[in-house]
Amino acid sequence: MAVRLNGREAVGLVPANNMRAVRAAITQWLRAYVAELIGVAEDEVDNEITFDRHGLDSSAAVAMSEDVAVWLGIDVDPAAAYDFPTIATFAEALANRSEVRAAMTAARSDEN
Amino acid sequence: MGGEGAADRIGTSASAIEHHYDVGNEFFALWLDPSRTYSCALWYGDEELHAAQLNKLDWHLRHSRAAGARHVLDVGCGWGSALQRAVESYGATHAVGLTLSRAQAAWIEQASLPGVEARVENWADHVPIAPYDAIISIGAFEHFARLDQSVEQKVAVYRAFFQFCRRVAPRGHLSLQSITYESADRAQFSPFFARHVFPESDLPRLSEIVQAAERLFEIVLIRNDREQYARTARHWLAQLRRRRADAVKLVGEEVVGRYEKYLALLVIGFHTGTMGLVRMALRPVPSR
Repeated sequence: MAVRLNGREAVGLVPANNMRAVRAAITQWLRAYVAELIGVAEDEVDNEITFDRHGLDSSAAVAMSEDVAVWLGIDVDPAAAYDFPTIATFAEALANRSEVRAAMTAARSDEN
Repeated sequence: MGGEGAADRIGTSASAIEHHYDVGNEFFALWLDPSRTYSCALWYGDEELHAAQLNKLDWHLRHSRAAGARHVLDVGCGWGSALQRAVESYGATHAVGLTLSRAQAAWIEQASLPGVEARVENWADHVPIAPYDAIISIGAFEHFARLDQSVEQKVAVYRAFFQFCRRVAPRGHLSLQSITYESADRAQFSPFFARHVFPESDLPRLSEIVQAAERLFEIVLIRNDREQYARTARHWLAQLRRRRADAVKLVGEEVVGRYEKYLALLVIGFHTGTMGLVRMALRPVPSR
C-alpha cells in the first residue's frame, strides 16, 4: 500500500475524543509506514521494538517524523522518534497531544 | 590570499568550504538570526535566538579578554558578527576575521564597519600586522582536519593551530567553540553530512583538543552545550520552513530539502549525544 502522506487524512478519522481510538489510529499508520519502508507485511511489524532495530537510520527517522507531522497537521520534533523510540511509545506520545486529538476527532468538511 | 598548496595541506579546502557557505548570503539570511551567526547559541533563559546568539558572542569575547584590546583575531569569522561585536561593544580597536568563503568576506567588506577587516585566508597562511591580544574561533575547528587523515595527523593539525595562536598572540587568551564527536566516532560520520554538508571535514574529540593544547594553553573553562545546539537547529529549521517559498525561489527545491534534512539531523545528533558542542576558554601556559 502507498504511504498515506497528503493532506489531512487524519482529520475526522476518529468519531469521538477517545484517547484509545486516537492512539490506535496512529499506531496503525506507523505500522503501515514502517512496513512499507522496510518491505515487510504489516502484521510482521512489532510495536515494541525500536525504530533503530527496524532498520530506520536517522535520515529515515527524520522523514518519518515529517510525514507523520504532515498527516496529523502538526509540528513534530525531528528527534521525537528518539525520545519515543518504538511504534507503541511514539503513538502514545502523539496521542497525548491535545491538538492531535482535536484534529483527529474534528468534523470532516470534505466528507464523501 | 594564501597559496592553494597550504590550503590543501591544512584542513578543508576553500572549494569545499564554498560548497557549503556560498549557496548565497541571501539564503542564510532567510533562516539565521539578524546577526547571521551560524553556530550554536547560548541561552540563559527563554531569550529569542538573536539574543542567545549575542550571549554566545559575549561569552567568547569575555573569555578571550577582547575588551579594550587593540587587535582581535576571529578564526572562521562567518558573516562577521563577532568582529562587529568586538569593535562596537567591547571597544576593540581592530578586529580581523579569517574565512575561506569569498561570499562571507565580501559581505563583511560591504558593511565597511570601522576597525573590522575580513580576509579570505587559511589560518596557516595568516601573517598578522601586529600581535593579537585575543583570539576567538567559533565553529571553525570542525574544518581543520579531514576524514582521510589519521588521528595522529589530526591532533598534529590541531597542535599546529594552537602553536599558531601562541605565535600571533604571545599573551593572548583564546576562546574556542566546536562540534565534537561524543557517542559517535569518525567511522560513523554520516555519508550525507560528508558528501553534502561538510565535504573534507572531520570533527575533533574533546580529548584530541586537550591533547593538542598541552603545554601551549591551559584550559580555564569548558562547557558542553549540545542541547543548546539542538535548540539552535530547531530555531533554524522552523525559520527555514516559515520562509520556505522564498528559499526555494533563491536556491531551488533540492537545496532547500537538503538543508531541511541537515538541520533535522543536527537536532537528532545533538539531542541524542552522537555529537557534542564544546565551548572552551584557554590561556597561554608560561614558557619554562
